[in-house]
Amino acid sequence: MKKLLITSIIFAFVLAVPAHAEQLVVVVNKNNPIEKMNHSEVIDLFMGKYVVFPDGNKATPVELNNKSEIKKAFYSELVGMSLARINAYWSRLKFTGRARAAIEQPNQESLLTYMSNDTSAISYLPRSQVTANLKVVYELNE
Amino acid sequence: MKIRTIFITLYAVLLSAPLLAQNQNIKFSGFGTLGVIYSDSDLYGYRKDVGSQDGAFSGSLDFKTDSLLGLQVDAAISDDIDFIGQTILKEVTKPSFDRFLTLAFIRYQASPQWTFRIGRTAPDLFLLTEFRDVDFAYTWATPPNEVYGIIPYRSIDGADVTYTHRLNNGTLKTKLFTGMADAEISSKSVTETIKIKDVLGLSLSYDKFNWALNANFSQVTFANEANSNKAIATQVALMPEFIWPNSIATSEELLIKGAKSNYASVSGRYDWDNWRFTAEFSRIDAKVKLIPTISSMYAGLTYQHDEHSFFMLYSSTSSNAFDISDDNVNIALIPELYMAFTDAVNFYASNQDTSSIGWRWNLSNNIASTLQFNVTNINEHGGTLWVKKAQDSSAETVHTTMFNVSFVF
Repeated sequence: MKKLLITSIIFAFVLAVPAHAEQLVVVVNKNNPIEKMNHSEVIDLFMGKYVVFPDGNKATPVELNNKSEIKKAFYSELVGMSLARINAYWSRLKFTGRARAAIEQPNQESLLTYMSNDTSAISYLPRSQVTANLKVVYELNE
Repeated sequence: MKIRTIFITLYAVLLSAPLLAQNQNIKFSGFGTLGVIYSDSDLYGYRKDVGSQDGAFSGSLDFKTDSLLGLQVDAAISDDIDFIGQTILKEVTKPSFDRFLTLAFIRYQASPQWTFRIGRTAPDLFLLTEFRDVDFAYTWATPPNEVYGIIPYRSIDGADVTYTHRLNNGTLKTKLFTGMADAEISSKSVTETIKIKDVLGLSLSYDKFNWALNANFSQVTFANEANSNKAIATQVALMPEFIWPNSIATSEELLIKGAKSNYASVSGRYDWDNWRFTAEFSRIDAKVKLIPTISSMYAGLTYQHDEHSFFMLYSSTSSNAFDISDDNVNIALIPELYMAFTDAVNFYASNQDTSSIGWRWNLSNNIASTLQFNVTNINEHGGTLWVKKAQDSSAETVHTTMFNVSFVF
């Protein structure tokens, strides 16, 4: 009985841990020649400052929409900003036509499909969701 | 007129875009502000820039000055080429199709480093001039009037090229732009359209995320003459020597067509822990007596805690007022002409400073409210940035309270 209770508590705890508590990783298409990126390169790319891979090739950031907990966790860990502040920042770029915003996907499945079909795509995921078609180039909180 | 036709065509694309809304390459978005302002002066009415003919005076709440709605369409024509159109609906002195169309340009990204744009873009004269109407984009209720209130231009018709590259773990952007623009400049009784051409500008920015430096420099040529100034100049030129010595030479100083004006700005931002420091110094230097050298600045400190930002801001502007008392003019014989002349030559002579405190609260990911309280000390003859209700230019301290809800979608 005691064993069952402990198991139940552990199980409940695991269920209570939100998906974004898992380590997030930045991924590219497996055919992209880039192997590794550093923190400032990832910031530049997702903050629209310099949307380029380290080898000079064009990058296409892809992400889930504003409702995503993963997106919220990603920007919090990457630059320490809430989504409201990220949106304020992007409104400067977007409404002046300075930069193209990341391509939004409605769900994880479509994001994975997009990533698998475009070698210039770059996105972020919980580590457990990385598929064989993707390659990890940066780990948050590494 | 040809360029107007181009923009009308581009705007038609913008308007017809909803028909293509199912196309995933076309995206619609927007921004807006619902704002209310209370200011306590009977003489000086608060306005956001010198283009507005109406202001917020004592005794009533003003909802028009700060409220607007912006709509934008982004249409990807190919991987490298897209069209951006934007309209901002708000109170303007001379409403027209041209004034409501704020962006309409084609962008071509030749490489990750090089971007070319042609059409109607936002002017990059100072740090915030490109997005001054997007209130959701910055912490304050509005950009400091001391620096931005003197600039009425919202768009520039022309082209620009931007080169971006990484340098020492930061990004360096160099932008060259050229074009022409026009906008209204208003007093309570007169509105004039000012046109500038041969705009040539350079914008440099270096960004290391937790700090950034920007420098902007532009030169413009005035392309027309204000009718009211022409009328005064004609009357001054007719004055005999015993009333107005050197009247012809003085009258010519009222004319600005063909004269050049320089806009320069240096700004910086530094973030540490929950704090942000921002400052900008600007200078407008025209080669005509009518427009004095205007030196302006602001410095602000913001403390951010979760979705709340508490800020304080100090801004000032100063310029030399035009003084004709040394010219031995017999003022007693021509009091009305003298007053009109003085008003005209001192129109741009803004002299004031403002201390502000405020609070921004991000109500959701896309909506924020901002409350700001300003105390402005206006020097005698220094109230250019305000709408004056009477022919009185005395010094005054004005208290202005602004509350707005800004949003993006």
